[in-house]
Amino acid sequence: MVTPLEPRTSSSEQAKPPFWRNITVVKWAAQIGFLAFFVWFFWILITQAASNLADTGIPFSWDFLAEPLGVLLGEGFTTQPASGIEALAVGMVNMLRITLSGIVAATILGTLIGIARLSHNWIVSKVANAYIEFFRNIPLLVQIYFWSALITTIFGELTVDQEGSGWFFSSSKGVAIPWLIPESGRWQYVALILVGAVVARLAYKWRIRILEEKGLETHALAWGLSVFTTFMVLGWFLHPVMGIFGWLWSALAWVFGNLPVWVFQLALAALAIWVAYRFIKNFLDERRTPAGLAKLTDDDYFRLVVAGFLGLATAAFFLLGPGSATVSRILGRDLTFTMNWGLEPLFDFLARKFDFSTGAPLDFSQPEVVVTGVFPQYSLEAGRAFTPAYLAVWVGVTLYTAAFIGEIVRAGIMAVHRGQNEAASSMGLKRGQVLRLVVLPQAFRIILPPLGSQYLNLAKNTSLGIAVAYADIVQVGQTIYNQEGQTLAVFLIWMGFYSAVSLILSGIVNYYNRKMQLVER
Amino acid sequence: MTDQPVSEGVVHGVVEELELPPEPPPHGPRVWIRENLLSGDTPIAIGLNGLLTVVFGLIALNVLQFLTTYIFNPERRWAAVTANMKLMMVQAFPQADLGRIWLSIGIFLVLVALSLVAWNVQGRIVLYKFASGVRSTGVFIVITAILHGTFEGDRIFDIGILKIDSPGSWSSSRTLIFLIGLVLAVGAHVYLQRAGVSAKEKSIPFLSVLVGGMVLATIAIWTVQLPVPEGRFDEVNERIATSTAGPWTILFIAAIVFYFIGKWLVSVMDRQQFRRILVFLWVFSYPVIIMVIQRKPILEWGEILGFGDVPFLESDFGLFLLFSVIGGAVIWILAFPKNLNSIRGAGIAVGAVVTLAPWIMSESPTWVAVIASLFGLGLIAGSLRIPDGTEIARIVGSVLAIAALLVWFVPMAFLLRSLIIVFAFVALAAPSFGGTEQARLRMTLTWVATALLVVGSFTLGEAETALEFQSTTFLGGFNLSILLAITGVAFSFPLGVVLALARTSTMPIFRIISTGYIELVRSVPLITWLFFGSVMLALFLPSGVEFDEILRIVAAISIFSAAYVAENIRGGLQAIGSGQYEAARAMGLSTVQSTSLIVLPQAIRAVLPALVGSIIVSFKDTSLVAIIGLADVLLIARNFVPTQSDPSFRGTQPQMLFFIALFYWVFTFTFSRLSLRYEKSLGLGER
Repeated sequence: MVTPLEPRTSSSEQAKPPFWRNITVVKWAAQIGFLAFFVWFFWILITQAASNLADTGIPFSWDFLAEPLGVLLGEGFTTQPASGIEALAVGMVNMLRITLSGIVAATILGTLIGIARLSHNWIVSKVANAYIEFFRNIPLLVQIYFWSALITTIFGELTVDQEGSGWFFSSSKGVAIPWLIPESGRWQYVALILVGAVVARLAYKWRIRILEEKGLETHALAWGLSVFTTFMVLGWFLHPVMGIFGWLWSALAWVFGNLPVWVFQLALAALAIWVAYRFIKNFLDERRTPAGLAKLTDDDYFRLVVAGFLGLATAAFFLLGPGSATVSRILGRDLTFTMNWGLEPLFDFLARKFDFSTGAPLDFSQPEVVVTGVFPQYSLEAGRAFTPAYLAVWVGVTLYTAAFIGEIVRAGIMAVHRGQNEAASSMGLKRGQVLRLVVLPQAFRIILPPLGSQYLNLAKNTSLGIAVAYADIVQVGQTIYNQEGQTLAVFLIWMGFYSAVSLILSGIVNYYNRKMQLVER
Repeated sequence: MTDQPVSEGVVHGVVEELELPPEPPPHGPRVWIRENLLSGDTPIAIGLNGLLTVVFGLIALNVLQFLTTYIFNPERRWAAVTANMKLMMVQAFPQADLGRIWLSIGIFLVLVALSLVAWNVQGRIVLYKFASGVRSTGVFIVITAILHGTFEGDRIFDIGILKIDSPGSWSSSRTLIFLIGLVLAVGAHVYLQRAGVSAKEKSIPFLSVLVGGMVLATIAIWTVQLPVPEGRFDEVNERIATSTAGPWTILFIAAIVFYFIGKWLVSVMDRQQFRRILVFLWVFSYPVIIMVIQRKPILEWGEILGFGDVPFLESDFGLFLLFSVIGGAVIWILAFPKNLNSIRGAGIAVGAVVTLAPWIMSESPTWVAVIASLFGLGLIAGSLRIPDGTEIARIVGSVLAIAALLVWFVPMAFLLRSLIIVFAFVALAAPSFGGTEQARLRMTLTWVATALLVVGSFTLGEAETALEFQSTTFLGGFNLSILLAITGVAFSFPLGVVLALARTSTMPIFRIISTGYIELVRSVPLITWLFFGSVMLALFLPSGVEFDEILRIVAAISIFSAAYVAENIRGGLQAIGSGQYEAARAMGLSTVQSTSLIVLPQAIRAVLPALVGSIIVSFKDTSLVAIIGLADVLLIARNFVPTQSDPSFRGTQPQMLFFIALFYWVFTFTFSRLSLRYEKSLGLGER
């Protein structure tokens, strides 16, 4: 039976819904309404904070960055910083020291533990398992406290009769070990090693090309390594040649010192517009087909408009003066950043380091106990002394993160299909070879993303150093706001610094992640 | 949950047994050693493996020896732990009111017992596995007893890396521990040998192990005496935890009794109904425990009920009654607008209130009144013209939401303001989640319960506490740690869901704001957020509004963990195929309905393991509040006990840290194992 269609009361009502049911209108009304609410909410918060701060008599300001502070820091490249920004820089460097060395150590230890966890040897696997279960289930803060207490209790006091140099000292003042101390030639030496790395890479690629073309065994890796080693060994004596770079640096310093400011502004503005242009072009190129272009949603248009707007706005910011003026006002002339964005002092500094000096790049030095006044302490010039706070935080974050990395490595290896293992074994590879040549490269692809987030965790966990008074950025920041009362400014600096570190770390990990991904065709 | 209440655990167990590999030929310890400690094909490989075995074995033995020697050393003053247990658990909570703490634990245990019944947790442990677990434990105890090193006495074996005391110098308790381990190991081994293959088919319920553990714990509390070697307590040779023996026994018994009551309840009522009631009890037990049981508020019944000098409509009860009756009626109509006239009437009434109320209230700014009137009149016009009931209900909800935001600019009591805002949001959600008689009843009841919760928390929050304690707050110790962990999760979860939805939304402004929030919050360590909460949060509040420090810290923790919860849930949302959305649309569900009823439950189920993991992480992270000076269990154990309690406990900091590490370890390890077990038996996170 065919039911006749009911006549519509009005054809326009069916064709066009009322405006409050129009999906685009509703979506944008909701978004704009929420944005207005959001902005208003923040405005309320900020004005409230401003009035509260005015009531307390400490208005928000960045002045403390340039002013001298009377604080003494626990450790760092200087313990008596001249200004707020220098104190914060000490904190940042201290944080990065622990982060970088911790990442290296935790990766090595964690990988070993992850592999040990999968060992066929019963006791090795059990010990690794016990390690993982023990360290990851105890709060890191408790562990850091524990290491700190352990160091101060099991190592005795440093005594006067220990005065003199030696190989190894341990006391409640920390641990001192021999160290390579950088000398005047180090800049030229490092530059030479960088050149060596590039040359070694070229040599490696060249041998690989021959291997691929002719099918000969060309020992590409050995070639690359030996070229690099040659550069390292010969560079020790020949590094003064790199002094010619000094001329280049001083020329650049001169150029940047004499370029008018508007050139920088123009260059930065052009850069901003170029980046926005590339973004829009790539975006459209991806949807070059007519179907793709027809599918552009209002969200896509929004992205394009925002990209274009941001590009133009940044360009205008740089061109119309406030860009350079703001930055130089915030950071101030005293803080080495001048109108030419610090490029002149940078190259000037480099030029002074590349001066054909024939000093050795590094110097071996043994630790030394000196007695200044009544109390003995480690000499700052000789060897390397690690404070108990540094050791506690370093050992704590390394052991803690290694447990998580161990689990990630184990999961990554187990995720490689068993068939890969069997296929490799049946080709006659030994267990070690199977692991090194077949399993690990594939596992690495799975391991990398979670590994990156563990690195981020480690970087953030170093902030627990404040519990044992390690002078990282959080502790320095707290000292500063206790003295100056600028809590909000310090919090913004924390936020900016940690965001920058996170961005850089995840950028590096993402770069490798993209490189390692399977190319699907 | 529409699945039949079949015992998932049992089904799972059967499958597991069916999939067991064929029985391997029995082999002796020699073969085991050859395969597991000295594996390899060539002599060199065997030698290397043997070397690894020896090295790692020595490492393990030395760590074990260090631990036992550290723990059972006469120099350790464990009395610092036992004597300060109450301090570490609840800090300043008054002795006379400790029953309130016990009651809280009791409610928790009873709810756990009932939930075990309701969700039919009856996994079974294969006897073979259990017996070999007992055997390993026994061997472990025996090795521990042998390895424990005293500092004096004879050695039968003494080289730098391994020392073993001669049994002649063992103390009696050490011999006892050794014998217990030996009996366990030998007994289990003999059983395994006797039972052979049949042990793999037999299994015991998991719960019986739990009950056995409780019985053992009770016996231990009542009988075990600990010699306390040093300090003022040196003569005392007391039962451990004398004062807690009674309460624990009662609580254990109560848990078991309630387990059977639960069984009976399940047999007489619908299981789904029972589960729903339990969820409700879990949600409500928490604020009740924190705000009523533990806080012991002084309630001014006159002010609350509205007799005496407070007008009835300004009393808490009056407000609740007003909002639950009138608001309930509005929700009742909005949730299922069957009758066009009734919804039109409701729309006109709400429109009239929104139009007129700002003008009547003398303190509202003119611009607020004008905007409210515009929307109110629009609502009246819409109610008269639009021929669709659900449509009108939606417009009523939207106008109420706008009016609720405008209410912010009208000076009035904070409670009133909060009630209006919460009501507006429930009204906004009502048309989407209503639609049937049942759903309408549920929405109305939800609103009444919400109103009760809002009014109740305001009343209880403002009430003074009758507890007498020498501290700024009655919360402290482990009690505080648990509170911070649970409250942080409870607040961060809804926020995280909203953020995750916003981040996966196609609406760019929502997405940008949410992404910005998540990335910015996650990039900064928790400790800086705690500083933010303790030092800076007060800056953003209007002067005069002051929050307790614990509340500010809870806010900071919630801000932080919401970002992590959001990222977890986003993973789940992305794992749900678009087919689910499309199917939901095809069924005629709206965007809100398909998201909240179809997609979100699946997404959360998919990432439940990750969410449980983040709960464990947030439990460990509560220890950070020690840095900003909140008296949690870590701060008390590390700072208060070694410095401020009995003088004989001076210098016990390392061992207190050792204890705290063990304490946290036991909790996190047990919790993660239990959750792993439960996830597996439910097949969570596998779809």
